Amino acid sequence: MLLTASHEKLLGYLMSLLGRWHDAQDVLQRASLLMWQKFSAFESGSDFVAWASTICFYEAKNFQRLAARSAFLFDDELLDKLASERLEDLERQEQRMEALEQCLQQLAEPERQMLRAAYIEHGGIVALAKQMNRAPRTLYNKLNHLRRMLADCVLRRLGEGVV
Amino acid sequence: MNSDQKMRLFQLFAAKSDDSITANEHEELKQFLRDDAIARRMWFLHQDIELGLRAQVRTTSDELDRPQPRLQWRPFAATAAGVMIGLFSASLVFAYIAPSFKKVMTLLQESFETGAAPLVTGIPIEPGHWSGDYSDVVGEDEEVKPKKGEKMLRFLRADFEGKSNLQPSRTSSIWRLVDLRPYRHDFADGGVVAQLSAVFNAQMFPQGRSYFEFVQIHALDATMAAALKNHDWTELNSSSLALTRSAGVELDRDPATWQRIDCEQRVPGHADFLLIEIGLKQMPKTNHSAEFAAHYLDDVRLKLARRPLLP
Repeated sequence: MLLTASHEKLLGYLMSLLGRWHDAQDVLQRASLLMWQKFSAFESGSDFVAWASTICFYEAKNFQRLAARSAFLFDDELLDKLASERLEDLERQEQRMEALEQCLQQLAEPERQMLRAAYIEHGGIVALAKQMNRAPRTLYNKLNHLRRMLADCVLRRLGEGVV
Repeated sequence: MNSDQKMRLFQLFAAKSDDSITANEHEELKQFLRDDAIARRMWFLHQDIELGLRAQVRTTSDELDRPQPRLQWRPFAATAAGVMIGLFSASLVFAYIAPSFKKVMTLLQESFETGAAPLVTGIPIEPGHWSGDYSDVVGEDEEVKPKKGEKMLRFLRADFEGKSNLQPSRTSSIWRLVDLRPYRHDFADGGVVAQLSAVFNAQMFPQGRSYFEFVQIHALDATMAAALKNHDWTELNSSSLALTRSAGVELDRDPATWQRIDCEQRVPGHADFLLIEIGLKQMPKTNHSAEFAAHYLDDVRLKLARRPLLP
């Protein structure tokens, strides 16, 4: 149940270290198995996310070591910095998700269609561009704009202001 | 941070998430993240938004598997409440559809992005990894591009380490054992089906030779699953609580197309594990083992879906 409740936080933590959702999912699978095996070392009543994030951190480093894409990895110093700050930042995650839900309600149907194309299937944006007779780059630009708008919307709703 | 810098930052975030970032851009992103606390805060926000969007869209995608009047956005809180971890497989997403209780649970979603090749020891003896005949994981291979992500599995041979070759084999397959016990309360009433799908592709292969896709689901109890540890596979078919197989989809000769195969099984309420097998069979039968020089598998999905028994 601890794992269940902490899934979003641990996935968000790993995405901040690895940058890609697919990679974070893969590492979390491996880390989950390790957590299961090492669970006797967890002290009941202590901070589960903090304990689990340590396992995730070392699994992320291990994943990077094996990934062989060195030009596109964060170095150890940056990983350490991101890991420690993200752990504190995770307290904001739930509020962000609730704010995002509100922000998504405001989107028009074409924008929702673009998000579905981007997040449901690999190559969805390219297919949508073909269907709309538009250049894929144009849709990617619109998608990026949409992501930025959503980020601004979430910040406004949380009273953090636009940076 | 001015608006131009912020716009640039989000361009870099998006490129990193979409895996379209260049080496120079990656250096630029690292510089931002190293030097600027606000950039790191924005990075964390970006990741949470990515996570939230995926959860939202995936939920609606699962709903689309069933007849729905139109696509709707569901509250994130409902999605989050249903998100669980598969201890031995992949993440699970419960898609709640108000007002009646229905759900789809993704037990396994595999596109081989870790690059880890399956074990070559035949049927797996424990959950959590692929095992089977000789295979490897590759990226784009000549004319065949992965269906999902950047990697795919390539079948290599029709045998595994230590397998007796007295009888030439025509099939190459991989297996995975999935532990159902953490979710027993969801299927104990017998009202759940397991749905397995996968896509296959191949480079051009010789005329006169055909390859057929197949997928198979065994439902096992703990005793049978334990017997796998002794490499005792002889009773597998007869001892399975349920056995479902789909076969007969013949691979075409177009490397641009991926061909999908699906299989569905009602999960017995007392099942402890699912053992899935995914593979290819070469026809016609020859006197030597089949060759699988350039045959690929990608986008494997295993779901549990609530479907009540007929009244």
